Amino acid sequence: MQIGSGFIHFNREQSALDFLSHPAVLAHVHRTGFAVSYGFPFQLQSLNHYSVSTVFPFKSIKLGTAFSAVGKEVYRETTFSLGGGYSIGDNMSFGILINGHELSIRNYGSDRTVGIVASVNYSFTKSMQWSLLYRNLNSPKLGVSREPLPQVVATVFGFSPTPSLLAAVELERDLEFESRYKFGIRWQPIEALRVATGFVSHPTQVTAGISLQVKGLFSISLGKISYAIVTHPELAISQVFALHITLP
Amino acid sequence: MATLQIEEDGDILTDDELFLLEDLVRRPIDLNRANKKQIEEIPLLTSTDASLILEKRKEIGRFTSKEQIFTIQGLSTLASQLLPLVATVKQIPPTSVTLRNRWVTPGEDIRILTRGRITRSFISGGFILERDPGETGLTDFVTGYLTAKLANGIRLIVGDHQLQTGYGLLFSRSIPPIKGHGSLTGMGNLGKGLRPYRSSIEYWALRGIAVEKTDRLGQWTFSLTASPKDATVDSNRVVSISTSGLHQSPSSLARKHNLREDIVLLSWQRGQGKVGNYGIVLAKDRWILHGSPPDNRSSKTYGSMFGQFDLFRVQFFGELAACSGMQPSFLGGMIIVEKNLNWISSLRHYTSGFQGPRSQPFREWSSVILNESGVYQGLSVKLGKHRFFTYGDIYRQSSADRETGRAIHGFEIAHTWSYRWRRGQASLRWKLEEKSIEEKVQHRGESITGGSKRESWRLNSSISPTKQFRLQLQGDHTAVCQGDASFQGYGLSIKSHFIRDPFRLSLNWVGFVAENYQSRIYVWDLNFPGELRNKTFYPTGQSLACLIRLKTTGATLSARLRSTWKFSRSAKTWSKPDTEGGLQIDIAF
Repeated sequence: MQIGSGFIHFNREQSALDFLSHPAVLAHVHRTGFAVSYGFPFQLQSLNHYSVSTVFPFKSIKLGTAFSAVGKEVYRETTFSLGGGYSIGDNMSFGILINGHELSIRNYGSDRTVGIVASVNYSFTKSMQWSLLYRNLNSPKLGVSREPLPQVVATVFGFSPTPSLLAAVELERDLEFESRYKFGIRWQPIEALRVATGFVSHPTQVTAGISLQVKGLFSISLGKISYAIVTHPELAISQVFALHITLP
Repeated sequence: MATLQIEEDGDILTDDELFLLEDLVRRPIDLNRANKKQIEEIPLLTSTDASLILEKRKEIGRFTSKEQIFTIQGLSTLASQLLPLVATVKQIPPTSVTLRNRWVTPGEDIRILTRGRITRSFISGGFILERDPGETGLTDFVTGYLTAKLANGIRLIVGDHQLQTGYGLLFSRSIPPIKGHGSLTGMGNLGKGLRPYRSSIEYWALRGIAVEKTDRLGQWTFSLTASPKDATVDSNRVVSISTSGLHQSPSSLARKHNLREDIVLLSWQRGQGKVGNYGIVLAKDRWILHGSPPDNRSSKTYGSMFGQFDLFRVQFFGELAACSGMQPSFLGGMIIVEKNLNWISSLRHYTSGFQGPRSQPFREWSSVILNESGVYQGLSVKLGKHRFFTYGDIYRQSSADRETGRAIHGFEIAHTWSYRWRRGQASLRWKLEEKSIEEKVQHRGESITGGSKRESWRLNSSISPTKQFRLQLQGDHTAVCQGDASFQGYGLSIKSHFIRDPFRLSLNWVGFVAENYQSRIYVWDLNFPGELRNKTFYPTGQSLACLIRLKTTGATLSARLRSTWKFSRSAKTWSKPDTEGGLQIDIAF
């Protein structure tokens, strides 16, 4: 649903995948959960990616682990992630994620590096929130040429005029590119259904997503199936499927 | 903070001090629990203020309301203004957090600053992450500390810290003393001891571990540090050390932290003894380049002694500092503070090439390597609602400048008249600066004739017809002579502030005509909380800015936009606007 709502880093979603880009959401996880996702970026098979993640709430700190992979035999990126989230008071939470990246190119070689993601979230009121994210704040690099991984910083303002509606704007800056502006809306008309749409600049992209929630999927857990699409001005549409399971 | 009258060319706070003040506004100090050292750490408060507050507390047992602050006899004007904002008589919760995130976009690129601090019971920690335009790292500058107050008056700091001691000949100052009204209150203040480092200027931090113990003999500080530096090197020789902390080019990035400075220091300071405050500092440093000492930077030993005492209503202060292989340097003076009259006179002699580990004394040239002698005097007289302030400084380099082959000399003099009434204030300032040689020669043998002379007038006025509206006007004229050439500059700035809680809207228009950079105009920008930014305007054009601030419980959101249009006299056309935006979030609870 994060992808479906314009790639915006909401702090409300408590799925076991959202912490990969916004580790502070871990602080709001109350139940053990699992998630699997599969994506088809631009309908290019060589870029297909998948992720598997779990979250574990402990008394004060919440942990999350994940494994992600992109590509196939010729070009492959794999990432192992370990994150933690912590709440300070009623209004603030922060999280840190450590990613171990490995890049492998057939006949060329491979390299590894570690990237750190940190984020913080603050609730001004019950309906207004702010988030700050740093991705790869330790400036990790790969390869003999010391190619830097994307270093991204983002600031997000979320507003929830009603409990079922959430809107947010985000300013994101990747140091290698110009700033991006994102706008997203998420609406929950009934308990089992969520729909989202969003807009991203540079390049201009429109996103949409839907999530169906099923209670008692396996008679003891809560399940959610999500789907999102993303357009691109020059490439084909991207699609992502995800399955989330939360244990009682 | 808006009610605190700090003049624009008077007391200038470091960003560390400003951050500390803002932190105190959000998390006031408990006057019923704070000890003398904690009260002294409040910026702009003196040791005398702290003593008076403690005496009052002892007399009445416990402060029950803030109004009791105004009954303290002899409290300084600044303390009376500041304490109601930064002090409380209620109990403070055990945990507090402050966080600031600032984005500024000068053009296409972006500057990002994030700073945070958390205090829980006796432990406190803080960090700063900063990235300047052009730098390749998201967190090119990182600083952090952890501090703990232990039993028996012991305080421990791990991480970046600074030692504010003496009068800045060896180590930092509480507030960098500058020429102007601030010298009357700033120059005679002793450093306040060991402090966590909370500035985004990389050069001044000491990185390591420090311990401070306070007992009946005084305050003892021990610090062991290994601080990274950026050096331009030639084989195994250090050519120069960068103080900017910027890494905006491949060459500056390549030399990032290629040099290490190890320092061990011990200081002792005693306050409120029969002869006032005094102390000594001993330090030794060592440089490491590529794993071994560089050829041209040997280990040095430093020592200084300093003191401050009152005699017949005159405060005397001074510091004498020495470094192995160099002649000693000193700074001293006296201050008279009466009800309507303040006077300061000081003498300084910094040996050519003298450089302490973190020298930051009162001076003309801002280089970290000192080389000057000077006499400075300042006088402030208050007559009813009128105040007159004048200062003069005569200085020269202690020995010939390396590049010009001549010892530059000069003087600076300024007169200010100000008037305050119930709803506003006005001031008029005239300043004259003359220096024998301003420009440097490119190669030895070239001769530079004449010198430089700069004369400026500034008229300032601020009016608050209602509590929700304030208007500020500033008019400037600058005349610069360099050799046979002369240049003029004119500027007009109009600022208006509309306050309607929780919103605040500020607008600023600046018009400027300056023939070149030398005759430039300075105007304080519409600053975010924690910013002290002076904008420079030249040659000809106008600028429009807007700042919006929204305050909620525990947070403040500020947004700013400034557009500047320049006028080309030759083409008789206006340029496209040069736009700069900014956004800041402040959180405190």
